[in-house]
Amino acid sequence: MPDQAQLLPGTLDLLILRAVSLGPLHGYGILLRIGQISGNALLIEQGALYPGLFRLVRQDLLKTTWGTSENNRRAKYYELTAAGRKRLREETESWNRLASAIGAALSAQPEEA
Amino acid sequence: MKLIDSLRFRIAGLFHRSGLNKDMDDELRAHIELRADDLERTGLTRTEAERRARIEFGGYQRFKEECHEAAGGTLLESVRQDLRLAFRILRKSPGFTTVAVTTLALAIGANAVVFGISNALLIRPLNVPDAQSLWGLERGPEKAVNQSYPDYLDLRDRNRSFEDLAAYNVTSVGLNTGNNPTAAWILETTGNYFDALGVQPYLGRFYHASDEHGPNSSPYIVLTYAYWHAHFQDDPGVVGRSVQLNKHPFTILGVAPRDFRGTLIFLYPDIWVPLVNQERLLMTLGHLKPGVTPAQAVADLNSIGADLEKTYPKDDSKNDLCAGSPGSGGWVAGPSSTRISSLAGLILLAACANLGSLFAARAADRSREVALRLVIGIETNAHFANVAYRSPSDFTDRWCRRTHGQRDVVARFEPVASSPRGSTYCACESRCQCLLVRTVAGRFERTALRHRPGKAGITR
Repeated sequence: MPDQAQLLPGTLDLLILRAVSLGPLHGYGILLRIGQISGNALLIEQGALYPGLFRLVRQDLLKTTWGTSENNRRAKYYELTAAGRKRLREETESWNRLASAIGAALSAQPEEA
Repeated sequence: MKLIDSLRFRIAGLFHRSGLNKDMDDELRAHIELRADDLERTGLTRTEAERRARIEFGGYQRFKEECHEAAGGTLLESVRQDLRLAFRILRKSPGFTTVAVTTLALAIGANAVVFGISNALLIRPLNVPDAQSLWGLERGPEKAVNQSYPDYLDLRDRNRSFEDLAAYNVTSVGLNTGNNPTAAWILETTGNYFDALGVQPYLGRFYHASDEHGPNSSPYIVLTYAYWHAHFQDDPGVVGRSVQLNKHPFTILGVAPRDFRGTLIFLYPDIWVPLVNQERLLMTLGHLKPGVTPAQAVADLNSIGADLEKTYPKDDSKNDLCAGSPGSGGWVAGPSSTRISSLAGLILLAACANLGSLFAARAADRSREVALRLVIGIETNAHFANVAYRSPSDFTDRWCRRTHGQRDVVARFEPVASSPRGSTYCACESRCQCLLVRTVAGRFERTALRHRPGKAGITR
């Protein structure tokens, strides 16, 4: 996939929270979900997902349970905690503000400035 | 609460490292398996699918380490690992370890002695009521602690700063409590000694100023608790009993409380005796009156001293007095304690210098080992810690890592590879050692580069 964008620092956590907000998922599932909801436009090194997951668990934003995957493999499932849900809401808002501000700044015409 | 939680998490992580480890392995492997399942469905063989899943996953060990770090167990764990390695390496060279440990033990011993002496001299006061207001008199530029009896009488009777001034002197006598004369340390004191200090008897009574009627007028003694306990088996009937002091009969008046061990820091006497020989030189002490500062007391004493100088120009020259630590027997006088401290400092310094050169020699010996470590991909940080933990001033190293920031230290490692004489490391106490680490690391790095031509510098 030649046109994949590098992730900005700090955005992986947000993507994980978003992916998990749609229902409990194991690590590989989270990766697939992110690919699906972003239209495969983001380049994520597969292993790099896990430190992010452990960090979020440690911050009590995610909780884990061991379960069985659709093709019968034992896998660890992640789901949002209440704090995680709150964090996702806040981060989404702040991301939207940032994105629209930067978008506005970049699309400003010389005479408007 | 957050801090406690985090600590608990870390400690739990430390003890359940193996459980956590297995958990992580299971999870990461599950990921690879799941990915391989998907790849297999695209028509690859199982082996090829697994191979490709592993490649796509990326550096397995690196991510696992990062997971540990994210889970919060790494700092303690890595310190433990480094200490274990240090211990193993030290065990491999017992000669070196013995020398290092002995050097450290001697230096620490010297320090303990100095602490013991300064504890006795400076920190722990005499065990009397209201010890803060108790001062001893010192005289002249040498801070002599002894006064003559006539001078003592003048100072005692004419000063307006002390509640009372008592005087005493230490000597040893032959003491016979039955049929076994033994040597005993006694304090010969003026009659007002116990009253001036404010000490109450444990048993019987003490003697007072009113008991003093000139030489040989008061054949009484007071026992210390320790002497009474050791020689009279805590017998309360001891009061009134007669004992022989240098073959003269004396009557036991009472026993002092257990915590009161006289007014000398270096010597606990066995008994107190009223002063019978007025020819002796005496140490003098007393409680300041409430509201009187030591400086005021000194001025007061010196006005008396000046008067004595005028009255007895032959005997009392250079009589400037000052207030000092009571019971030191002249020991606390500045120079001697400074001398002890500097001696201990020198010993410590010598020990550090010795150890430093030993470690420098060993660090040079380790170049092969560390080159190997760099080649197989040890993190620069871990390597740095590995050198630092076993270096003499571990603390300053870590301090310098903290003040300069971990990243900075690593960054400063980088130019080393290209130009070994490049940047100065940092201007801190452990400069020599840091330079050593740098140079050594530079050599290691260059060695490593030969083995790994594709990789320039230490990346992080």
